[in-house]
Amino acid sequence: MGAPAQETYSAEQHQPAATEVAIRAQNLARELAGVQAVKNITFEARFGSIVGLLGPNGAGKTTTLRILAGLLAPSQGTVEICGLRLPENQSAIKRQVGFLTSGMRLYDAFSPIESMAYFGSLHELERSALKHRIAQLVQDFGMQAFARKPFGKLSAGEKQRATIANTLVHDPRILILDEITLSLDVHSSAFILDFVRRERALGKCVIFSTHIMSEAEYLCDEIALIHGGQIIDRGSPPELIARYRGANLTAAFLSAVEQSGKAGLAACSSGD
Amino acid sequence: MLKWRLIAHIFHKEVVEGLRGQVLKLAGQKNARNEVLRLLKQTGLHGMVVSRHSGAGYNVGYYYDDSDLASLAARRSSWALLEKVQQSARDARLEKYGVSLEDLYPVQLHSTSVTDAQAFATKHTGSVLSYLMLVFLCMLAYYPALNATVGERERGTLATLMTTPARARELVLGKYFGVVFFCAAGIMMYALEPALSALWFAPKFALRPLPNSWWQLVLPVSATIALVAALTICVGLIARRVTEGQAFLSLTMMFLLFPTVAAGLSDAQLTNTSALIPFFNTSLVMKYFMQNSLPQAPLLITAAVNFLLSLGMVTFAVNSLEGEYLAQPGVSDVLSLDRRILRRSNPALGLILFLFVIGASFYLNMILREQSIFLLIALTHVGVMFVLPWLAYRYFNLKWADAIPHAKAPASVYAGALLAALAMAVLMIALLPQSPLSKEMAEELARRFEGLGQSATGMLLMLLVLAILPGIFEELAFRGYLFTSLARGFSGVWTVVLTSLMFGANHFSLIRMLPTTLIGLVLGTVAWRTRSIFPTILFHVVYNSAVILVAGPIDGADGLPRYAVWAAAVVFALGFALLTQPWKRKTPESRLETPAPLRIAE
Repeated sequence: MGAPAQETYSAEQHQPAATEVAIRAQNLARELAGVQAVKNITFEARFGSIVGLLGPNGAGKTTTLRILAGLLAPSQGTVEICGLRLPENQSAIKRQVGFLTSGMRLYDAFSPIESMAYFGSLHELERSALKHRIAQLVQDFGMQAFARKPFGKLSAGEKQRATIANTLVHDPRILILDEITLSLDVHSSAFILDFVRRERALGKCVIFSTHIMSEAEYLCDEIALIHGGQIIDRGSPPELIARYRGANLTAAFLSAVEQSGKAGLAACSSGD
Repeated sequence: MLKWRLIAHIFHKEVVEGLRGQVLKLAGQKNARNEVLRLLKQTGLHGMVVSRHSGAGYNVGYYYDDSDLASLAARRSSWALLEKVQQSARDARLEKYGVSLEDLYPVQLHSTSVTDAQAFATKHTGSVLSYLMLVFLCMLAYYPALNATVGERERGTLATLMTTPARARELVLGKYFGVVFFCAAGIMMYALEPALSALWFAPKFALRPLPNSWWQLVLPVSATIALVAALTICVGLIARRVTEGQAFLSLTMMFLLFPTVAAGLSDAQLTNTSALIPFFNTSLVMKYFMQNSLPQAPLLITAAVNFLLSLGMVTFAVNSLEGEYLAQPGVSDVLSLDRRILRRSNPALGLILFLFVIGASFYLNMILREQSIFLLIALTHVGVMFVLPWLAYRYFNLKWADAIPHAKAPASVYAGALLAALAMAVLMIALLPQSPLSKEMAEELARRFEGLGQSATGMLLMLLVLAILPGIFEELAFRGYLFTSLARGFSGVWTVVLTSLMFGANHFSLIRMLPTTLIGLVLGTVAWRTRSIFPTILFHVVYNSAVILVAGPIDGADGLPRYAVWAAAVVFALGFALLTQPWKRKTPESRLETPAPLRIAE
C-alpha cells in the first residue's frame, strides 16, 4: 500500500545531481595493531553510481570503509563527504551515510520494527515520517512475516535483511556496504544485489566492498582494486578486463596484483 | 523487656525528651544502696536512674542489680539510651554556643572492654563486614556496565550505534547514568535492611546510631557510586571481550577490598590527607558514620576527590569512543594480565553467592539470636548455606552437580580426615589463647540447652546442631559452590585462600576468624587435592564433635601435657599427608586447571 507515495517521499528528500561528488578521500593511511592497514588511499565517488572495492581478505577494504563512515580516525589524509569534512561534521555526515559491515548486528531482544524505531529516533526522524518509513522498508524487504519477531530468533538471511533495512531507516544518500552478501545463500544475495541496483536508480551513491568477482562485475560502475592496503588500479569492469587482457575480472585482478608486486619490487630495488 | 524507673529532680526540658518513666522522689540520701535494692526487688524493675542538679548540669546515676541476669541485660540498653540523652544535651549546648566537637575534644579517647571476647570481636568484624558488603554491592554495577559497553561491542550493536548521529559523549553518558542508577538502586536496597532493623530492633539492641545529618553519608556514598560507575564504564570501553572486562574488574574489586578492610581495622582517621585516597576515604566515612562524628572538611574533600576522578574517567571514556573505538588496545595489552584468568569465565558468581550466605546469615543471626539458638544454627546452615545458593544456581540455570566437587576418594583419604581432624581439635584447644568454642559461647549454649549436655539425647542433639549440620552444609557452601565458582576465575592457591577467608569471615568474630580461616585453608587444600567434599565433610564433622566433647573437660593449654601437643602435631601431619597424598601426581587435567564447563540444566 502507498508504495508510489513513498517513492515521492524519497525523491523529495534527495534531488540527486548525477555528477555531484559524494565522497572524496585523499591520502588516507591508518595503522591497526602495529600493522599499516591502509596507506595512500585516494578515492572519489559520485551520486548515482556504484563503486566497488575489490580485494582479498585483509586487503584493507573494511578499514577504508570504516574511515569513510567516520567510525575510525585516519592517521593521515582527509575525508570529505557531501562537501563536509570529517571529523568536524561527524553528526551531519552520519545523517547522510548508511554504513553496514559484516560484524554489525541489532539488539537480539528487539524485533526489526522496534530496532528501526529506536535507531530512527537516534537519527532524530520525525515520528510520523519514521512510522511511514518503517512500513515502507518492511514491504520493500519482504519482512512482513518476521518483522515482529525478536532479532535473535531470525534466520541468517532474515537477519541480514533486517540489518540492511535498519541501515536504511534514515534514507541515507550514501550507502557504504561492506561484504554484506557474506555467508548468504544464492537467493538472499540475489535479492540484496537487486536492492543495491535499485538504490543506484534512486540516485544514491553506493560503495560496495566484496571479494566476490562476479558480484563486482555485475554491480559496479567503477572498481578500485585494493591489495596490501593500497589501491593498485581503478576503472570500469570492461576497462579493467581489457587493460589486463583477462577473460574476466578474476583473471584481470590476478594479473593486476602480479604487476603491482613487480612494480613494488622494482621500486624497492631502485630505492636502494 | 526493659523496665527501669527514673528517680529524679526534674530534668532540663531538652534532656527529658525521650526519657519516659515514672518519676519518684528518693527518700533521703542515706543508705541509698539498700533503698534502691529494696525498691528493685519490690517493684520488679530492672534498674533505676537517680539525677541531681549540680552546677550547670546534672549528675545522673544508674543503679542495677548485678545478681539478676535480666537487670544486667537491661543495663546495656538503658545505658545506651542515657548516653543518647547525654549526647543530645551536649549537642544542644554546643550549638547554643557555636562550638564544634573537635574544638571541644582535641584529644579523642576510646575505651574497649577486653573481658567479653565475643562482644569485642564482633564489634570489629561487624564494622569490617559493612565495608565488604558496600564493595560487593558496588560490584553489581559491573554487570550493567560491561553489558552496555564491551557486551554491545561483542554483539556488534555498538558499531550500529556508532553509525547514528548520536555523539560519543551522549552514548557514554547514557550508559553511565544507567549504571549510576543501577548502583544507587542497589545501595538503597542494601540500606533498606539496616533501616528496617533500626525500626524494629533499635529499641532493643541500639544497633546503629542515626547520622547527625543525612548528607554526611549520602554525599560521599554518591561520590563513590559515581566513581565505581565511571571505572566500570571505562574498563568496559577499553576491553575487547566481556570476559576480559570481568576478569579485570573482579581483580580490581579484590584489590579494593584491602583498603576498605584496612580502614575498618586500623586506627586510621579521616583527615584531609587520607580523604585524598579513593575508596579508602569512603570506608573511613563509613567508620565515622558508625561513630556518629563526621569532620566536615575531609568529608567534602572525599566527595570532591571521588567526583573529580569519575569526571576524568568519563571524559577518558568519551575520548576513547570518539572516532577511535575500534582500534583501542585491550585491557590485557595495557596490563598484560594472566592469560589463564582471561580464558575462564566467572568468579563473580561465587562472590554473589558469598553475599547471599553472609547477608542472610547475618540477618538471621540478628532476628533469631534472642529467640532460639537451635533454630538459628539449623536455619543458617540448611536455609542459608544450602537453599539460597541452590536457588541462585537454579536462577542462573546451572547444573547442580558441577557446583559440588564429588570425585571418588580412596579409603586412606577418609582415614586421614579422621586422624587429622582429631589431632587438629587437640592442637586448637591446646595452642589458642581462647578455646575454639569460645567460653562465652559454650556458656551460652549450656544455658540455652538447659543442661542438654548431661543427657545422652541432649548430647546427640547438640552434636547434630553444632557438628553434623555445619559439617555438611558449610562444606556444601564453602568447599562446594563457592569453591568451584571462584576456581573458574582464580588459580588453585587463590581459590583456597579466598574461600578460607570467606569461611573465617562467616563466623562473625575476629577471635573465631583466625582458627576458622586456618581450618578453611586445610579443608580447601583437601578439596582441591581430592576434588571431593566428602573427605572435608568427614573432617569438619569429626573436628567439631571433638571440640565440643573435649572443650568441656579440658580448659585451655594448662589441661594438656606438652607431649600430647607434640603427638597431636605428628598425628595431624600424618593425617594431612594421607588427605592430600602429595606423592600422587595429579593428571594434568586436574579439576582446577580446567574446570568443567558450566552446563545449563535441562
